[in-house]
Amino acid sequence: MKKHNRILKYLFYIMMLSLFASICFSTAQTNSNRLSLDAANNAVNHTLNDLLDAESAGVEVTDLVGQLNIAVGFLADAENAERRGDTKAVDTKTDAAVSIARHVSAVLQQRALVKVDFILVLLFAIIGIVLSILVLCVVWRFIKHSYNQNALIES
Amino acid sequence: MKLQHYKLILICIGLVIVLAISSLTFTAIVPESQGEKYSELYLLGHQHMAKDYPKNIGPNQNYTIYYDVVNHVGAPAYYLLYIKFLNSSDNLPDTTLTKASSSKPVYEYRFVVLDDQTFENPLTFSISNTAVSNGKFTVGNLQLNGEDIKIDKTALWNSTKSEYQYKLLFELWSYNNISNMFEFNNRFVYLQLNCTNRS
Repeated sequence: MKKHNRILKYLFYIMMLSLFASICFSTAQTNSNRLSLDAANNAVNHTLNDLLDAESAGVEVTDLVGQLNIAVGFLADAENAERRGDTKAVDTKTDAAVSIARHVSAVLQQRALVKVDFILVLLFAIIGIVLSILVLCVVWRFIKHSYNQNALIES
Repeated sequence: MKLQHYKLILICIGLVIVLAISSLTFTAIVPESQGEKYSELYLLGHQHMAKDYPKNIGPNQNYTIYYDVVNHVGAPAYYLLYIKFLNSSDNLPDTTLTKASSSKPVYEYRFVVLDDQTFENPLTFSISNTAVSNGKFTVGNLQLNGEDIKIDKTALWNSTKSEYQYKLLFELWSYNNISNMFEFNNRFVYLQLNCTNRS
């Protein structure tokens, strides 16, 4: 009887330990999923900010928006997978989203053209105006000279 | 022609060149006014028209609609569309307070839309594992584009309208690149659904 009780006691300890271990494991898995989702969200947001900067600087981004849409689609799939507790799918989808977002960022960096600063535009405008006035002065001198010569020949 | 006439013509040409360069510079430096910035969200029926929306729905039957989002914010925009399944006691978003519905989303879609472009996607949905007991109707599962989502949502019998009312709510959120967060865009639409236990 005493031996039987001891076995039951050990069985109870083992059950409690395995329950504790499974709770720890599932909590760790959830935390790990949330971390990878946060990392993927950051990567996509970072790429989107780069894309907005590039677009306002005049870089062509239409094809990259298509690629970014694939990345954000994977991210939405990962968020939906987390909602239904599919931990394996979360990792696969977030990895895919991060990989595409990084690729888009790399292409954006390659395409980053020299941003036409407004001071540069102003400088070119001033140079253009000065050059035009100079050309007109030269034309004026030429016309004046030939007019005076014609006047002399006629007189 | 007198010399004074030539002088006048050259002065006029000079003025035209100066004005042309100045106006070009002005348009390059000063950003163009974009008017009101807003986004649109609307639903279309299965025939791509604003009619024939699903109303009376039964279990294990597919219903197709289209959701459209139009970007008028003057730049590419990153949107998040939350789908929520509400019963008659759940709150709808409050547009006066720019507050989203407090119900948890059952699904989400994300997409980036270029300025003045429309994003459209079909959405096929169905309900399953429905049950009626003690004047309560329960929808066990919701399928969205083939994905099965467990919801277990209960609705009470609406005696004035003689139906079990649910709403399939679409809430538009947009990414704010200053706060680096999604914010409720104050745009939402919903399908009013009358659920029955008959296929």
